[in-house]
Amino acid sequence: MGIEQLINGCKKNDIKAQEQLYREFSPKLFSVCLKYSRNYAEAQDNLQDGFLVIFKKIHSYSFKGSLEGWMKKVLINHILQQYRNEVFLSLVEDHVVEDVEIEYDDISIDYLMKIIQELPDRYRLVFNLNVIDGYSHQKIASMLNIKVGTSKSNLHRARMILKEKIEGNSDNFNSYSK
Amino acid sequence: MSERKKLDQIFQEKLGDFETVPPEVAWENIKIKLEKKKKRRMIPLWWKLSGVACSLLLGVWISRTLLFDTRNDVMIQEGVIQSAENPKYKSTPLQQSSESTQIVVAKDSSETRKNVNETLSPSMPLKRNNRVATISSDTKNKSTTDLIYTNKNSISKRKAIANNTNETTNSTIHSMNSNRLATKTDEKERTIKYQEANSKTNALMEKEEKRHTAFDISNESTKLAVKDSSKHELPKVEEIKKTVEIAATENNELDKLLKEKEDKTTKKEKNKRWQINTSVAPVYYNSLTDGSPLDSQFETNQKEYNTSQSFGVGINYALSKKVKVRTGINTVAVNYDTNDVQLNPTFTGGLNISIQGTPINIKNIGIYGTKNPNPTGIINQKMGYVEVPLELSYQVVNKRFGLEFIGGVSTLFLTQNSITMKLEQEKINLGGANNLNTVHYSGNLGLGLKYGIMKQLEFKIEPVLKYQFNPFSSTNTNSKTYIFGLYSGIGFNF
Repeated sequence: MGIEQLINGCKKNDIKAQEQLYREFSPKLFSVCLKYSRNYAEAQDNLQDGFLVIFKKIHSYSFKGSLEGWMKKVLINHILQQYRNEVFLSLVEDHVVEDVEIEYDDISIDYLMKIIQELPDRYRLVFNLNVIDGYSHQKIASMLNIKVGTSKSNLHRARMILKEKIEGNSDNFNSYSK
Repeated sequence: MSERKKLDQIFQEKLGDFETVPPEVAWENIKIKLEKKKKRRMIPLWWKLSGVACSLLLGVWISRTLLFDTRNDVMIQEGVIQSAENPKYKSTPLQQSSESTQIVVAKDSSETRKNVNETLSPSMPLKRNNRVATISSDTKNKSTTDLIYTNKNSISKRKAIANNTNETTNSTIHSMNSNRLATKTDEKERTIKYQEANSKTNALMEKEEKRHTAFDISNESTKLAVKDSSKHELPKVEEIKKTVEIAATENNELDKLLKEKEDKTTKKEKNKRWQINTSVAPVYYNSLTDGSPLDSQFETNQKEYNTSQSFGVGINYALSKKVKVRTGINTVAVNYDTNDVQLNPTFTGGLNISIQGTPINIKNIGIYGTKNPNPTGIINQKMGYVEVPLELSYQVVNKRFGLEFIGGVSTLFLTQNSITMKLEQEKINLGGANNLNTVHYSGNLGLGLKYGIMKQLEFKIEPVLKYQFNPFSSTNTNSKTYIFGLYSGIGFNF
């Protein structure tokens, strides 16, 4: 089944097409969920609900841009909705510093994932949006309904925390597993 | 050995293209929710559809009931609007005499013609022509016949009318286009014909038919007008076409509206065919003769027929505007007293009343006889029936107050049969009569009076006489009983 057929099948709520779409894109999208969520279980929930939103909204996909990009966008928006309203104490806006340089050996993906998930919600979201997925601070500010300065400050804080964790646990880099 | 890398790069490299297969249970959960949604979707669809159907029905019902009452008002209003727009018509007798629908038609065609004329000749001098043309087109409905009578001296058949109208309307347009001097004479002619038109009164049916032909004619004539104008190579041909098209659609729409109105009136009558009603009645039981229902022995005895009650529900269906078929179910119980009956205690086997018990099952009345050897009292016979009428009614007056004649038959099923002996102090149940038919018939004749309380509710009162054909089986009764009921109740039309 071609990608267009697949999409059209999903538009008609054909369960087989929906499953095929899921099989094809869930590994990529699940990794997004893991990065943006607090833990594995929440990532799974977000994936499930995110796919339901995708299937619901797929009729609005007009073949402009990649399907994966569109799906990822829908999914991230869904996850942001879950976390952006979390109560979060506003922080003093620090000046943004240069990228932090750290020493590292072979840091496992699992460990990186763990420390990202452990970040406070806003830090995690901003870090992911900016560093991993390349959104600008302005875009992030509008997505999360915060100030641009806040976004930058959050990113800085996130980096500091991550750096501290990596440096402090350099011995455990390879021993972490989920 | 450790390599210095920017923090961001570490995450980008490691997590940027990272993929991991989610647990299988995730898809299972999605699948369950998708299937649930599908099922859910099916129900709301039906709910929506039924909702739409309900609202449609409600809408139809509301518009039906509203239009029914305000129809005349609306028509009058249309007439008023028309006359306000064209005050010059106020004095014309045609408008006064013509039907409201015809006014609408005339209005429309006049506007059409006006548009055509304006586009054809927008200059000032021709405004007078326009006016003439509008009048002529307005009077077209009625004056066509007169045009034929006066000018053509031809037959009055409809086809001829149509043809002639085309000719006359065309000629009118031609004359308007060519010169305005002729219009003065035209105007005079028109007014003469106009008056003639008013003097002639056609039958309603003819009016209706002409109205339709007028519609066709106005369409055709406007088309012809376009053709003519194009021949003359007048400017703004396209504009004219547009106006004509618009006019044609307006005509069609009007035609549709009129048809709808006609349909609605017919539908109204169709839809209000059913009526259910309740009835409660005081019932007067009586006999045409002195004969006793019990036995001929009692013929000479004085009898008192008592008043009782009847209750029931009925359903009517209108077969036509005036004729309804009615049925329902009533309970009715009648009773009468036979005075001065003597109890004879010497009868073998116990006490008996003075008649030889043929029609009566005598119960053991034991002790009573011993008090007074020959007591006299009253025999009360009670008969209860379930009545199923089948009647026709013919409506004589059908307004807020209505009057109808009712006739038909009833089938009566015996449900109660008791005879009681009333002595001075005692009341003795003697049993039941054995000469009563379990099923008998009655012939019904009555009047139905109604008064509309609301659109669908009416109060009814129906005095009906029901003559019983065969209530008694034994031949030794010379009783011809009847029941007169004054049935009143509330009827609900739907």
